[in-house]
Amino acid sequence: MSAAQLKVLLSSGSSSIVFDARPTQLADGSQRGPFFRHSLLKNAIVIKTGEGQTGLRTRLFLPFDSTNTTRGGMSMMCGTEMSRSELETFFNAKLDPATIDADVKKIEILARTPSFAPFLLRDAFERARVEVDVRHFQVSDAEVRDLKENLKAKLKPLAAMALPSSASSVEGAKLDMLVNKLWDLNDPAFLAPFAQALKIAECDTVSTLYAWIGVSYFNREFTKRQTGLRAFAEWLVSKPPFGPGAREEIIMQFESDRKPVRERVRSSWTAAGGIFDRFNSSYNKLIQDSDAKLFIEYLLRAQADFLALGTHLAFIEQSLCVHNAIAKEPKGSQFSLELLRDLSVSMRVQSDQNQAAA
Amino acid sequence: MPGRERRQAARYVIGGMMLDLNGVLHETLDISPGAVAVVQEKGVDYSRLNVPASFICKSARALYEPLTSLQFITRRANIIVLGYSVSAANWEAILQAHDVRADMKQLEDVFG
Repeated sequence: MSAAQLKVLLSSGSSSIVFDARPTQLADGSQRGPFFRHSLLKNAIVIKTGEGQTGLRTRLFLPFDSTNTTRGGMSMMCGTEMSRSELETFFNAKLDPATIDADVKKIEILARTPSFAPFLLRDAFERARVEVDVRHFQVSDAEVRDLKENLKAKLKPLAAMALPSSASSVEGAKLDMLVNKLWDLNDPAFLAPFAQALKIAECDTVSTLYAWIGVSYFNREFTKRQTGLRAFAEWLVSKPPFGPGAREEIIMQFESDRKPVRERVRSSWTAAGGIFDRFNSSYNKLIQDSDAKLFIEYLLRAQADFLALGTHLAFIEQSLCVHNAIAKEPKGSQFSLELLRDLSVSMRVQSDQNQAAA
Repeated sequence: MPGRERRQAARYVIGGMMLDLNGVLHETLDISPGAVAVVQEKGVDYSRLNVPASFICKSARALYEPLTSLQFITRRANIIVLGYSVSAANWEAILQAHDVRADMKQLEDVFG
């Protein structure tokens, strides 16, 4: 990723791809402390981006100037399984396990979660039972409560599959209790027979059901971006923004940069739509006909779909951030051309790979 | 509502929606405009059902609705399916608006 694109993402404030772990004073005047415990990570910003060659990447960025993050910094890629020694190598220092190990766990959760969408991230930390200051997630307690209730209610038809077969063996509020168990995903004795009925491998039960909840949640994240993406899609095919006398090669370069961006974003949007269509068909069939066959088939791909949606959302969000930045620039400015070029390069790799694979 | 009609009518799933039968609260599994599937409760004789009965839902006032008729349709395992009627003219629209899928939107083809 180029410095220009990084600068745009850092200043975009996009909560789904940029996680600001720095301490700050909040709008209500209260002080929010740093997200990480270790002082070396105090001013860290974590960025999740779609990158052509590798798909979804999580990058830890440490700005040289914590008050002006766009002045450069150092960064490292983060994986879902991190070790203290990786951070020690990065910082070229011995780190105190008592402090850094908790941060390593936090970095792993950030890397594992397919998007920094605030609800998703807050939920991921809750599930992992890692205590954090929830003010780092830009989502209110009321929003969390509403979203949780809505997602939990969606589990009702699944929970019904686990109802005992005779009335004598159950005690009050059973469906609600089973829904809560499916939401919490922390009762192996309950989950094992349930997984068997749904034909999920026992080791995959939690991640599969969590992914199903995640796919359901992602729909609203994509829907929120529909209007912005429509404007971007129009810009991608609009007349090039150059006045008379503009050099032909600049116009040609501009067009050749827009093409792969359009292909990549269109492909991500279409793929996401396809995932939601499959998700909905299988869920509707379960509700309408009490037929679990399609639903069980869908569960097999839920984890892959959940991750894919994270990647698609990242590509779309990056593009929207860049488009917003370009829109603020004078038409055809050098900076906007550079931004488009960077975005195009990062997306073109994937395009070329797709073509090679086709 | 006969079983065939229930199979054809659209079913909705609503979080927290209960059916109050003579003071015994029943969790609903799904509901169509003329039939509701509830979780069986002990001590209720489903072959002798009478109104008054009503739908209740803590989170949505619009779903509080007294039933004007009620009858047993079928049973499968722990689920009892009951036919019912209510006087609300726009009942199906209310159910649809509170369905768990109401927030799931189909993505439009913004690229044309």
